[in-house]
Amino acid sequence: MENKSSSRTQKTKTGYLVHIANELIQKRIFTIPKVYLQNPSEEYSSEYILRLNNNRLLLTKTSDSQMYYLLNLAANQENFDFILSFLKEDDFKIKKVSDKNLSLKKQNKSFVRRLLTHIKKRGPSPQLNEVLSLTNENREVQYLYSNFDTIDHLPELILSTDQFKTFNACQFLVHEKGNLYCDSYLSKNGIDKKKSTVQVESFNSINSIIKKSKSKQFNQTQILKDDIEILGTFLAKNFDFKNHSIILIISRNDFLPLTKEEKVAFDEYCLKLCPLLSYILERAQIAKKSQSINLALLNYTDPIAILTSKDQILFQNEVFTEEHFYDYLSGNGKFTTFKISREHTLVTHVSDNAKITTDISHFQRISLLGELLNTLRHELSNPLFGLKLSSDLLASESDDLEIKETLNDISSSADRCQTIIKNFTYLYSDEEVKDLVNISKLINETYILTKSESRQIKKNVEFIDFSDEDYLLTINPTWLSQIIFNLVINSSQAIKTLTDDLKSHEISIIVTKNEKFISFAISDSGPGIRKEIQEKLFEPFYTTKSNGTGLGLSISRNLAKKLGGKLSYVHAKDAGALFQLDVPYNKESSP
Amino acid sequence: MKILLIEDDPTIQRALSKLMEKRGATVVKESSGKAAIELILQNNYDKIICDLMLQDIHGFDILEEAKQKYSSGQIKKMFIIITAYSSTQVLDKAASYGCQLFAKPFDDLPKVLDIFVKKL
Repeated sequence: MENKSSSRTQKTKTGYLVHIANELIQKRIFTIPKVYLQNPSEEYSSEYILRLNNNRLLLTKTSDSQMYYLLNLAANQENFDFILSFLKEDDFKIKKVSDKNLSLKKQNKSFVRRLLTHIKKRGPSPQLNEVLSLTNENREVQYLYSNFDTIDHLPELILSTDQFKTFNACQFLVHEKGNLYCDSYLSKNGIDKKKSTVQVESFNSINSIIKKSKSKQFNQTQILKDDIEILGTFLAKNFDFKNHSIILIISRNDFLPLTKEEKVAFDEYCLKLCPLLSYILERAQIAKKSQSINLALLNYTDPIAILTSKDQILFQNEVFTEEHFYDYLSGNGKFTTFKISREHTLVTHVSDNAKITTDISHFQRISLLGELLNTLRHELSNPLFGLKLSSDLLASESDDLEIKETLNDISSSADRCQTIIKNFTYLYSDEEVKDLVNISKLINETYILTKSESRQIKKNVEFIDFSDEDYLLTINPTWLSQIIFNLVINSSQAIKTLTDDLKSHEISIIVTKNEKFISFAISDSGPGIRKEIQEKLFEPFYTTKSNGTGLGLSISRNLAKKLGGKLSYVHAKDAGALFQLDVPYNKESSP
Repeated sequence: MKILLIEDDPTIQRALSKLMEKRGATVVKESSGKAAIELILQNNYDKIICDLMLQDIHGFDILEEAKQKYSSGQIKKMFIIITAYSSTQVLDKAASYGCQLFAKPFDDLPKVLDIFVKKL
């Protein structure tokens, strides 16, 4: 590569001979004063480039190959300062390498490779890192940087540098603050790569010995830890970062004392290493974070995908199928979209999942509450039964009328407690049972259950077109009761937002028997429901209450569906809300 | 009529024993399950009324221990189980012993008491 470009430059003899000090080139190549040019009429611009040819410096019009020739030359001489100043120049061509210019890309890549071989040979240096970050050759740089996402390769790289050639063991101990363990990275003779875990206690004791030491030179008589896998005399340095503490140990695996020069070189190297370590730790943390985000998205229960502006899939999670993708493209099914950036859109499939989510939440809530109530019921049954038995017994033995009455009151209170808890258990059991129930009784029992919210508010029940007085219906009483319960609670809470004068308000349920359905019209004299909210009423997790779950109505609608009926919001002409629940009834089984 | 009442709720224990005594029975009260086993093995009772959820052991453990002394036919007649935890599992287990079971609170107290003190 080098020879090729050099031969090419010899063909183009458009160079100007300039007299310029070597230091100047290294400082800033593009600020050469005009006076140094042999032909001052030619305006100086950054299109010109200086290069060394047969011990003569030439200023030539820039061609890309020449530019790389110069860069490669500097890289060979390990003159990174020079390259840095070169790359930092604003209109430097390398930043503008477009995908179309293949030959330029190729050159850029080869230049970066050259830098890479340097890193491999000399070990990492922050300066070199900076150079690489400016070369704009993403894939190559990423490849290089991937070596620096972790400390894994560092010990090996350090041992491979010229200045530490005589050393043959290098160990890093990395402690993330707050963890009980720290990681150890070891390289012996540049071959063995070993990653292990070290207890934080031994890390701390080693760390404090190093901190206290002035010479930073140790041997195993000072640190007798199994965790240090290095023999003999060694040099050590501790680094303190925001979230990490790091110990670097380097040794020749013998007991000869280290020279002053070696210690100085080590200190200098540590100084240079510091920003690189900080960089690696930062990268590692970012990598960890993005890995978590990636995993979370991948395992998210709803189908999600990220699409490009050309509708290509950039990312899709486990449950996002090809079908979803084609549904989205053809406009079938329900999707929500969110523009992440100009190019990328997050697509989430929603239609069925909203229902599943409610079902799951509902099921979880019901089973948890059911379990809780069941335990409560059994735990309370015993003492309540004791209360009842004793008060009955004492009442039968007492001759004092007042005492007798009080004891009877206690007994009936115990009975009532028992009934309340029993009703709650039935309400929250999710068993599919159908019973012949008296609707009037069920509504009144449900009203009692809502007492905590609906106290003082008038509550009515009215029956229309029922031929009998029994109001019988074969239905799952738990589910029916729960729907009514939710609606009455909602109505009560809505009324409370309106006024404190609850007595002037009412909730009424009108039950009408039709040909196929029994309709429950549940209305209140509350503030009603605003139009913009009406559309979202039954959406799960949609709530206007500060401490609402947004599940009440969506659960109710699901329950209505399970009952073979439907629940809908009817726009009421007067103020207040009106919901209608229609449930089918079988004429033969319900009289 | 000698009855052993194993029940750890003191109010229920006292009230039930009084009510049974009123019906002419002699009642021995015990709230510990382990102590109850000792009593059963060392003494003779006409009826043993046993709660299931005791502080130390489960009522069914007492029935198991009673097998040392009584045949399953005798256990079936002698033992009456009372419990507030009348889940299906409990009902099934009780059925495997063939004993009578009454869920607390008793729906019809006088009737249950009559069964308790009824001679075999």
